[in-house]
Amino acid sequence: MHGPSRALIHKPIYDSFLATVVERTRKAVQGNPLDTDTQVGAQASNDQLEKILSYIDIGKQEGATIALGGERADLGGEFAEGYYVQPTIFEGHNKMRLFQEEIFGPVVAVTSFEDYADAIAIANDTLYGLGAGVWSRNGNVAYRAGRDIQAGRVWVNNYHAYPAGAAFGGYKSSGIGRENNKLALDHYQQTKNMLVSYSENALGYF
Amino acid sequence: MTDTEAVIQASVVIPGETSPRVAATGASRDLLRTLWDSNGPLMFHQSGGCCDGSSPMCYPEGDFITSDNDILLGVLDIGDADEPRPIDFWMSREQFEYWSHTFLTIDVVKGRGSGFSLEAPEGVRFMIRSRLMEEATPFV
Repeated sequence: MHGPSRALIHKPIYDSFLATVVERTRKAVQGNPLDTDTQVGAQASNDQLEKILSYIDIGKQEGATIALGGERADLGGEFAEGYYVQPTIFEGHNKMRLFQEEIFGPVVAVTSFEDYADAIAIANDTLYGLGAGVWSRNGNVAYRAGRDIQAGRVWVNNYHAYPAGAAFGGYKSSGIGRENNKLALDHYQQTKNMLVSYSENALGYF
Repeated sequence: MTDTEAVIQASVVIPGETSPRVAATGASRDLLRTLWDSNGPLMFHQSGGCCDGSSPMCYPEGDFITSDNDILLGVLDIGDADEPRPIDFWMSREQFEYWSHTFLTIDVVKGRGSGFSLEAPEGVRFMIRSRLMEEATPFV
């Protein structure tokens, strides 16, 4: 998933970290998508809005708890009918459908992990593997996690960077169609290495 | 789109199971009848994944080629007693592992009609509403 639909937080810092995230997210500015000060715009269509609301609905039924948001947002005025969703943070566990689908809206599902092995097990317990992110001050941990996470793209201590021409992959049920990428043309080429001498003189070995 | 009551229950087709897993709302049934009139027999395959994924995709029957990697969750009959119009509802098996504790109701909402699903030109979009199954144990 490229949309950061899940967030895994180390258990010892879970409560304090999540509280900080909730407070920061609460300050996110929602409004006119054309306003450069807006941080959370509207959904692109009514069907996407309805789909996001249906995910929120099943998340509540599955027993996930809402740390923030969880409703359609009515901004009033000229945006009263806009397809806005409140920035939403759910807490739950990874078997919930809420965690297993890329919601593609301002909704994240959060859970905790005990240790490195637990984090990797949860991260890889998904049908998909397009993009992932790792945050750590320990470069060794960050590197190992980047290797262990089954995703075609792993951002380390950043997220959503899309340099043009970067290799593009995907594990499991993700990345289908990437053979249309320019890099994939290499698979249809023969490899040939010409070893050319431009010397005007005889090689001289024999 | 006020006709959101589930009016059709799918048949039970998974061996060992006794309750249906899929239903369709009145609005969906009406749209499906229209689509059947213009396209012939129909099928659904529930897509997974991102962006426009995780939607019930409606195709002409047989247009989406299913395999052992897919599972039939039920058959919806949108016809009359004297003229049945059965519609298979499929999903990939790996996705069913994560969805099996939820009952799926096919609804239809106004939309921009993206993707390959047959209703796209109508300016509407089939959509799944979910509730927990009463009999299946969640999260097995």
